[in-house]
Amino acid sequence: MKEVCFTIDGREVTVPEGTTILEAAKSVGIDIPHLCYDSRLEPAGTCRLCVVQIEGRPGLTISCNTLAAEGIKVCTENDEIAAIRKTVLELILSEHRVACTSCDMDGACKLQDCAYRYQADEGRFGLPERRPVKPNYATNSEAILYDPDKCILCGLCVRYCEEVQKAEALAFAGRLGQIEVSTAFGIDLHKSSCVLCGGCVEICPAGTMLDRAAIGKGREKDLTRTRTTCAYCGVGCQIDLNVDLKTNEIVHVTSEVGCIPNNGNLCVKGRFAMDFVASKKRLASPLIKRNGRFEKATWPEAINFIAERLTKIKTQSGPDSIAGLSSAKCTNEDNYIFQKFIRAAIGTNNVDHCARLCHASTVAGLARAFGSGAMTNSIDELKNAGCIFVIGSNTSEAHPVIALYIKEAVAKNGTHLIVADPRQIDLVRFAELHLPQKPGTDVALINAMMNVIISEKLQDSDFINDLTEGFSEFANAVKNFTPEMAEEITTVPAEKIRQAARIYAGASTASIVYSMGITQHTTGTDNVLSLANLSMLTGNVGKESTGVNPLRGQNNVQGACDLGALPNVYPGYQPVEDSKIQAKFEKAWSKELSPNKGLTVVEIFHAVETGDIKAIYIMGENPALSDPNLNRTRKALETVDFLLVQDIFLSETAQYADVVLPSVCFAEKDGTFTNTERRVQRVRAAVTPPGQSRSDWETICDVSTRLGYPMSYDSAGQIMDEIASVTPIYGGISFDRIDSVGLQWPCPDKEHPGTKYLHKGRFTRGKGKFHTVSFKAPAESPDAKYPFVLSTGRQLYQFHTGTMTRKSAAINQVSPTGYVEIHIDDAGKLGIADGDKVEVATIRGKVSTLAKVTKNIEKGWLFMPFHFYEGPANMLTIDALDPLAKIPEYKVCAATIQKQGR
Amino acid sequence: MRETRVLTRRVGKYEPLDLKGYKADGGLVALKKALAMGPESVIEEIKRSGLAGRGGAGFPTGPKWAMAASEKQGQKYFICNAEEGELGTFKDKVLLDGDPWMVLEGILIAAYAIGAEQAYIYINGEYDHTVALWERLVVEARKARLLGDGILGSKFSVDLQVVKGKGLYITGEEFALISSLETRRAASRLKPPYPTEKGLFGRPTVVNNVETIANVPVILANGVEAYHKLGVEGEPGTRLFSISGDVKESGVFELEVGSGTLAEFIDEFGRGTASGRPVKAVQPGGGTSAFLARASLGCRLTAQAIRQAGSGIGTAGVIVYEEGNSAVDIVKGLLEFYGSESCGRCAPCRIGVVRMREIIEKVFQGEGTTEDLEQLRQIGKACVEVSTCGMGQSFPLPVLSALELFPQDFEVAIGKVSA
Repeated sequence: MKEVCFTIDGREVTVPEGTTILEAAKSVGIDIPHLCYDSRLEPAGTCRLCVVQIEGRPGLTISCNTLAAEGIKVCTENDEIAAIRKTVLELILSEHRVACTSCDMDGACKLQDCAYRYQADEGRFGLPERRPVKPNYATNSEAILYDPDKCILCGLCVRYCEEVQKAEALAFAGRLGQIEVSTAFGIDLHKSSCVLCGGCVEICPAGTMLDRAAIGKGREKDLTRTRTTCAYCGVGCQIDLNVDLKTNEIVHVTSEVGCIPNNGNLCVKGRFAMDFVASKKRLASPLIKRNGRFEKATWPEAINFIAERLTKIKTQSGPDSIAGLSSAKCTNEDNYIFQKFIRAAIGTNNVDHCARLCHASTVAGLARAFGSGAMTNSIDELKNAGCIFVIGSNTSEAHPVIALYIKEAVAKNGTHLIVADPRQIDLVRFAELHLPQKPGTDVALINAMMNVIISEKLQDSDFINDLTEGFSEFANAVKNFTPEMAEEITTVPAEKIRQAARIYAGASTASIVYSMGITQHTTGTDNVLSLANLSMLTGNVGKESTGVNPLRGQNNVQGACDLGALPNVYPGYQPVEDSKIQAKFEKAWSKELSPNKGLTVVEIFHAVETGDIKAIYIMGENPALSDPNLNRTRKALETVDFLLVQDIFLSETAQYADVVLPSVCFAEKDGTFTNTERRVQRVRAAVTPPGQSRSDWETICDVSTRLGYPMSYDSAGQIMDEIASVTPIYGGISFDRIDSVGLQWPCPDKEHPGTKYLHKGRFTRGKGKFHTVSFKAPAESPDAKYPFVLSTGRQLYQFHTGTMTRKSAAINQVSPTGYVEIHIDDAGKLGIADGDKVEVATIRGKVSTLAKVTKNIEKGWLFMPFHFYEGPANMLTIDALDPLAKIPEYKVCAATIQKQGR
Repeated sequence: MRETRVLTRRVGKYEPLDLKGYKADGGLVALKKALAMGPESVIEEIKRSGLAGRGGAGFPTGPKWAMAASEKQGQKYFICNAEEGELGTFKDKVLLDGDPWMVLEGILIAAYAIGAEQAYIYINGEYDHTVALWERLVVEARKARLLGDGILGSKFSVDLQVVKGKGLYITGEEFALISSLETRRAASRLKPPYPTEKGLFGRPTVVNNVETIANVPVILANGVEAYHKLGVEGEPGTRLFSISGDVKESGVFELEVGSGTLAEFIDEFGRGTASGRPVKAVQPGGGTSAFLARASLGCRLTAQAIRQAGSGIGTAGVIVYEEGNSAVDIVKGLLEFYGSESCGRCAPCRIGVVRMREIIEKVFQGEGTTEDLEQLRQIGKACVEVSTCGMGQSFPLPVLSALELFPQDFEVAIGKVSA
């Protein structure tokens, strides 16, 4: 990149071409004042404070929109500039009700900082008149407060909403003297297109927009800031918990611009859904169920009780009669210790976790095709992709911050976006092409795209010849799979499939982004293999801004897999059935280990029915709401001889337990999460936990010790050191190395800088392998009695089974309860109006919920979010499994819907 | 001193919708020439002519077109700015109503030169008659194949949309106009990027004033050499001057650039001051231009001479104030107008104009202090120095010049000296 050299305040500065004077000054520690600049936004130059003098140019120049040029001499401050800045600030203060004495932002306010620096007199041009008190767009919002008397109309919030979040909820209303920030027509914020990211609150430089729940709960000087990793979803946003140590309360959540991977951007959950931490419903002591009722117990009582029951079952029925469900919500350290406990202390490989329900097919499929089952590339690379193909991912709702990168790619860099999704999801607004495939027909769609690529000779033959195997057999198989055939199956017009193939294959770099729309099928592994085929066919793997990128659902589902909370592999995907590996772990753990792979989640519950499983140890999972075909799952939870649940709440699952142990949540413990781009990041304790709750790994160590396999660690960091010693892909990870920025595995040794993208020049398995995949219909098809196709999934405001998110007032306002989406025509035929109470039924069960009548779904299809205990979608879902990955088909089953009386 | 009617020579000579009348009097000659020359040559001719914008800023027209023309792909737009909201300025209306076909011919040539297939004319929301006339004109022009596909049988296609302004002064500023056309809030934007790079809907766009565009057919029809015979070195051609204020006769007059002095213009075309008292002050370039005192009225009617005298030619809207007016009253009147016209985007202009309005009101009421006058100077200077667009950079100029030229009026108002 070309550089320019110039002078600021007498100092020589060299910066890349295209750097503004403001940014250049910042890079050398010269602080030019500003109130409307943010590195994430286009310069607006509305505050006019950043003016500088450039030698030889007339007048003053604003530095936020002027590029550094070779040889120029810039003066950032002299008497004239300071005087003008002071006057402008005094003008701004004449519009700002100065209320620093009672303002939450006192000490963290940019306007205050500037006014102090220039000793601006707030009354110089008169104090602002108080506006008549009248409701504004945020008056009824549970999340945000807006005070027009303090607003300096810098526009940062409006621009953030439009340019970064692209929600376009905020705008200016009114003319001179009465200008205010508002929504369209002044409608309530929670009824507008706002997605509650809270970016407006954080970007506000003048304390005008406030986090409503935080008002009066502490100023900058009262709060202690702890950097940690968000516990919602796999993006792994870096957040700062601002805690009042006196009250032990998280007052509000912020995030720093420039942090990896989220650059200061958050979604509603990270910003507004921390209420659960201080919830009065948190478990505070161990509970033992006696005569059908929970009674409080001491830790020694509980541990003894557990040890006796587990020992008895193990002795009578053998170690394979016990199973453990580890947790994608817990840390890497918790997961490592949990699987070590199940494997070494119990002696079985019956350990699995909810990755089985989300991305088991990714792990299975990508391991077969590439040799490594994780996101191949990094989040940041999406911005520069020539084409992004999003299939089966409602990114804006499930991975909101990654969606920002995709939107930025389209808006700023002209990236071609193709979205394949049965619904008119938010990303479709930005897409060049939308392919609304019928649920469960992805293989047909992708095969036809590859048919077009091969028949139009758009493939990357050098890549195929040099780096892959199995091409000719595969090519023969898709040769006959024409777009017209695919149209019959998918309902997507053949011409659109052709266009998609041409755009994808024609792009300089093309990145595939997918999620559970691909994986949660009986053909989940096939779907993943098809995407792997597509990427290899066009040479879009092993290079920057390409790849096959599964977006992992939960905060640490990547880490839970990495650390071996799977029945077939030890930490680092080392197979349990490989005797050399088994020997290695037997040596490391000083214990004989089982050579047989264990059962998967749904298999464990089915094995309860046959009596093969007698005890289940569940850490931080909620299968009583999250697993398919709930009637069957709940029956198993009820009938299993011994159920031990470790959680932060008395979840739906915990209610079935014999013993419940209270855990600390992410904000109360140290450890690491691994995000979807394989980045191992720190989790740090910010508040003290309630009652007698303890960190998961400590509890497990105690149970293990009591069972005769002693485990003891001083800290989470010490566990990570043990992980590094037995897990080659984590070999170079340690707490001190990831203190400020996380590292991406594989990171084999202490000098290794981490891996931005996988398979560079060579696939992990050697050669990339093409697989021949033929289309198979979903397990269940609509019929006369159940004429609709029902899909389930996530929505923006909730996480998993809602145990955490549903404790937030801001979230409850916008997402009070569950619903089923139905096309307006179908609703019309059935006499269903928006908001009506309806009954949705499948052959497995029925639930009551509310109808959401929409045009964003195709006729004949229904969609339900799964987060809600009232009207749980998983009463309806089918527990048919993918034969390889054992993932259930959450995305397709046959259903019927009818109106219920009010 | 006499009028030189080049741009206005047909005004009143034909019925405004009568295309035949226009053609019979030399109309469309320039367009036909332009279509034969090709776009690059047209731009070259306009560059060579030295034509500069007549909307206030005086930016050279040819280079502006060349910037937009350099983008070879995709949609481009031409916008004729007929907002004409500046105080004391009503010259564009004369052309729009009196010789609309010439303005249209200019628009067509400009669109052809830059490669725009869609043009807009954004007309002042108070010019009801003009808007109605232009809506009918567009219908006539389509019938005559002057708009639509294949203009005059060529391969060039363009359409024109007539847009009625929203009654906001600021929409005379090009980016505010563009925002308004985009149905967004009418507000200026940061430059760069300029409209020629990222204008309407993010595409290259040329915005030209009505009088500017009316020069184009004249230059092409008569040739650059003929055009250069009028005017002075560096400022060729004629210019439409509006005159109003304390004069016996208001009106619009077309003068050869540099043909006389300001004093002569006031005497001969305004027929002197309304009361016969001497002139106290003049704003030569519309309501945002600095005052010139009587001593400066000997300056010639060129942009350069007026600039040297301490003001600007702006829109050439000459506003005359006779002795007997207090500068405080005049400035109060101006700030009452501008005080509600800032788009509100930038802090100094948005707040400064309101604070200055409040302060002058206080001074006018006899409650002002020396500190108030100092505040007017400080706020005014800050706005001029750091504002984004022409509005903020210029509305304080009459205030600042009044404080300098007529300090006594202010001192009387604050009671420091008696009248």
